[in-house]
This record gives sequence, structure tokens and C-alpha cells, in this order.
Amino acid sequence: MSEPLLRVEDLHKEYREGRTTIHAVNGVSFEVYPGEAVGLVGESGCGKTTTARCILRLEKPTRGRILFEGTDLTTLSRGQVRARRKDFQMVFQDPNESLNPRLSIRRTLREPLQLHGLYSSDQQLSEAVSRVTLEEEHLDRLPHQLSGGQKQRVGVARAMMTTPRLVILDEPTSSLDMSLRIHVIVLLKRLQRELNLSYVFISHDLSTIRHLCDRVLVMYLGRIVEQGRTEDVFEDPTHVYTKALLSAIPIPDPSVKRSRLLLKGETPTARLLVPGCPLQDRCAFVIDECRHPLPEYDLGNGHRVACRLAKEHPAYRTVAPTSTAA
Amino acid sequence: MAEPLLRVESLRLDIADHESSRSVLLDVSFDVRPNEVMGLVGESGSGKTMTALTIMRLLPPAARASEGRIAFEGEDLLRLNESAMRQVRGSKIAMIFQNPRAALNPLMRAGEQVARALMLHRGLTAAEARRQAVELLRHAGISDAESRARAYPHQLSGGMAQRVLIAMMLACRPALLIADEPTTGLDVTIQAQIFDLIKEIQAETGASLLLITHDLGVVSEVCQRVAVLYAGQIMEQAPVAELFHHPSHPYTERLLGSILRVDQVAELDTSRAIAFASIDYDNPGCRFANRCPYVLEACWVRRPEPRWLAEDHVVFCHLRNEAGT
Repeated sequence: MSEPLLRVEDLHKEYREGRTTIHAVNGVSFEVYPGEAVGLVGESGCGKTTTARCILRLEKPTRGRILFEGTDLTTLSRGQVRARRKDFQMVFQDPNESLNPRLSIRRTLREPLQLHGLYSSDQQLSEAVSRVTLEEEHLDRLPHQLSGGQKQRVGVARAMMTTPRLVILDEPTSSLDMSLRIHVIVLLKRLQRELNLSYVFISHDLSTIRHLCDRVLVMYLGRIVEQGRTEDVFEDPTHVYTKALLSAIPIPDPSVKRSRLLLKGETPTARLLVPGCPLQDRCAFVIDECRHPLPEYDLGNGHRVACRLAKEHPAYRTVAPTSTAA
Repeated sequence: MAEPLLRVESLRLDIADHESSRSVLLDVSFDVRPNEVMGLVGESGSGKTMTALTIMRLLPPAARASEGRIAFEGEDLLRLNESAMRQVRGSKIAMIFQNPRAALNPLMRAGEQVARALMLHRGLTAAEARRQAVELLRHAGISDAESRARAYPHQLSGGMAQRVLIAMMLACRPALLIADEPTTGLDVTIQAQIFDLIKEIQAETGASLLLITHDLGVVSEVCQRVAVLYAGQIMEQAPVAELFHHPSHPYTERLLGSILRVDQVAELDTSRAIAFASIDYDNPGCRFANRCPYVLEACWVRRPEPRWLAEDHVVFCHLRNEAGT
């Protein structure tokens, strides 16, 4: 396999809140290869957005390395990071908040190029809008003159202006209606192919992840509890959390009847670092073993699961070599 | 068939600003039967929340229900005076909202808010109300109810806050519950818990539920019948299985074609999804006409007559009317 474009190694991010420490991200490691779409999935507070913000250096990680094309971003100065940002861009969740309401679309799209001292021709701008299926006439509008779906596409177009290698998308479809979502996903897939992009796609929306991503990382309480090829994780979820998450999603088909695996209670806050599985207080299958540091079990093809039940999986052979678990 | 509990008939709702007026609901009719879960599904701008607010008579000042009636227990809710309506609200029809924390009083402890509902609607004494409030919180699935009762809304998670609202609703023993996107913004594992709770309570109290949602998965798993709303007009109404397996309105068909399923992968096909275009509220005919792949001349001129395909299955579409004659 080729060299990864991005390699995150043992990433930690802690916040101080008075006398307590919040462990938002707690030892996360993964790679993103060129042209690959990796989904980072989990519920609120699992640390997926913090992970993304660390990669973009919008936050400084407490510990760990973030290698982008071999360069450790955590060691760069602010200025150096800014210069590299041309190669990694972000699409935000809410276009209403991420677009400057006073800037025309033309200026919005020009800005990222200007920041890097690049020139933007009219042709570049009209290409940029047509790439995201907007019209040239939209260039002279202000954000409030566009619909939600159009604004989201401006956000996508802006991220593509500097021809980045990696685009991090933070819930780009969650504010959109269902009928718009499929259009945005198709658009993102096409852009990925045309511009040879890698994506880190952050979402709680598993259906979108399933249709867009090649690989998926399931996060819970600051840790990756299961990862693998999208097909493997969705067809053969093995961590109790992944199973619960997938079974909780209502299926729009009355002929499908499923049993639901319910978790007890709610996600606890990431204040107390407990050894072992982060799900231990909500899991119905918890035993003493789960309260001790646990490895990741390797089920082949990069399908790795930090749950003791993975040992009973027919594909289980070994413990994964790079243990990232606590 | 039993008499419906609630019947909305030819409802029209106009919202005016200083220069123009728009009907955000037009000729909306549906009913909710005793002990049933009726779904109202639509995307943003469909008017589903406005429908709920009209039933509850909690409309913004600029909105006016200009036509139609809302029959509930032999009376037209649109014609009740405010004090009579206050008797209905809460005690007979209760509503839970999309943003539960915003629906709670931020300055009052959760238990106190439930207790107030008990005092108001059941005439309990303060001490008795407080005792029962804790009981209801427990019933709504709140573990550690005594200490949660002392919490302020900002100290509760979204899921907890929704449980508090459900407890308040329980306090009122309403005949009809209206839930407007009750789990939007909640995590999916919590959403599953809340829906289980709502269904449980509904079965236990025999109340009817009008569930407003954009999520066809939720419709499929929770509702018995469903009305599909687009741009303030009902497009189609049917029992849930019928709607999913035999969608008859082009909008329903396209809406189902837009779904990304989590349990299977399919080739993404935008040609089967709804076309990119803004909602056309001004078309005097079918408001879906500008996005409809099968649009006819008549669709620009007049609203289609209802066509009954089965006892409970009605569609408003010129295409079906033409095909049928």
C-alpha cells in the first residue's frame, strides 16, 4: 500500500475545567491514504470534532503526533501551519455560521486563495461554482440570498479552492433535508474522484457514512472502539457499542423487523479516566475483564475491535500490534 | 370505524408580513383516531410544525387560520375562546417539542415544573404534587429521580430534558399527545430510548399520538398511518406499510427514492430523488409541480381532487386522477 497522507498517532486532547480535566480525545490513532474517504462516527461528546480540530491545528493536541505527508503538524509554528493549510481544508456543519454574511460568494471563494498569496481568475471562480452545480450568477449574491443547500455547496466550493489534498468535513449534511442530502453526497463523491481528494468525514449520521466512506472509525468517549472497512463494520459490527448504535437507527422499511440492542443510561462525561472499555457502565455484557486495559482484536482486513467479545468472532486470530487502547 | 379523536378539516393558515401574505397550510385535512400513532411527515418548509401549533393554538401573531376547522371532542378548537383553549391545552392535548430544554423554564427546578403541572391540571396540593412529580420522573425513565428533580434544566442533558417534558405530559393525562420532532438533536441511542418510552406510555394510557417528523425511518417504526405534507399541502395519506410499498404521489415516491439506508448500500441515483429547486408556494395548483418529473398542464392550474385508492389511502395528484378515468 502507498504511504498514508495523514497519520494520527496516539492523539490526546485534554481540557481543564476548574479542578477537573476533560479527556476529550484519549489515544486515537489512524491513517488516511490518498484518495480515501474515512468516516469518523460517534455520538455527541465522543471526541470526533475535537480530533478533527486537532488535525487542522485549530486546537493544539495535549499529546501525540499528526503526520501530514510526513511532516508532524504538532511541531510547526502557527505561521508554518497556516502555510500548510492550503493542502488541508475543512467544510463546516452549519453554512449559516461558517460563511461571512457580508461577503459575496465571489469574495468568499477568493479569500482562501488570497490568504495563500494566490491569484484567482474569473475563470477559476466560475469553474469553482459550476463544480458544485451552482451558477455563475450566484457569485454576486450574499449568503442570505441562497438556500441552505446552496450555502452548503458554497462551503464545499470554498474548501476546494486551494486544491487541497485532504478535506475534513464536519457533519456537512446534518442540517440538510433528506432530499438534499443525497445530492450533496453524490457531489462529494464526484469531487473526490475528480480532484483526487482524501476525506475525513465526521458524522453521527451512519447512513451517510455508509454511502460515502471506504473505511469507518467508531468513536466513543474519546477512543476508537471499532474500525475497519465500511462494509465490514456495518455488516459485521462486533463492538457492543457499534451494535447498539446501528440497531438504534430506525429503518425506513416497514417490512424490516429488527431487535434493538439498548444501552443503559447516557454517555458519561469524559472527566474520569477509567481503565478498560469506555462503555463498561452502559454495557449489558460487561464482566471484570472489561474493567482492565484491553487490546484491540484483529479480525483481518484492518477490522479491529476493542471489545472482549471480538475474541469469540470466527475471524479472530491475534491482538492488533499497535494497541491504542488504554 | 370509531369516531376520530381529532379531525383537521380543510385547514388554511396564512402568514402575513408587511408586504405579502402566504398560505403556509392549504386545504390540510387529516384525522387522528383513538389509541393510534398518526405520523405527519415532511421536510423543512412543509408546514408540519405550523400544523401542530395551529392545533394547540400557539401560533405566532402574524399567522391566521383563515379557513377550516379542527374538531376535537365535539368542538372546533379554532373557535374556542382563550380560557376554554387553556383548559384543552395540557389537560387534553399536550405537546412535546423539538428543543426540550427551551420548553422548560430555565429558572425552575425540573421537579418543581412537573409539580406545577400536577397542581394546575389535577388540583393536587403542593406537597402531594412534589411527591408525585418524583414518581412521574421515575416513570419517564429517569434514574435517580429524587436528585434529578432538584436539577435545573441547564444541568440536564437533552435526553433528560425530554424525559422531564414527558413526565409533565404524563401529569396531565391528555387524550392526545403531539410530539414535534421529539428526538431531533438527540443522539441516536437516546432517540431509541425516548421512542420506546413514548410508545410505552402511549400503550399504557391509551392516548393517541400525532408524531411530526422528517425521518421516514421513525415513521416506519412508530406510526400506523401517515400523512405526507409538502409546502403546506397534503400530498398523500395512507397506512404506513401501504405508503412505503405503494407510494402513489410523485413526491412520496421521490422522497422514498432520496433515502440513504443504513442497512444496505445501493448505487446512489439522484435521478430517482427529488430535484434541486426551491419550494413554489405560489403555484395555484400542486405546489410540487416545479419539481415533479411527471408534471401536467393541470398541475399549474388547480389543486387536484382527492383520489381514494383504498379505504385509508388518499392521494392528491392529477396524474392519478387522469390515469384513473
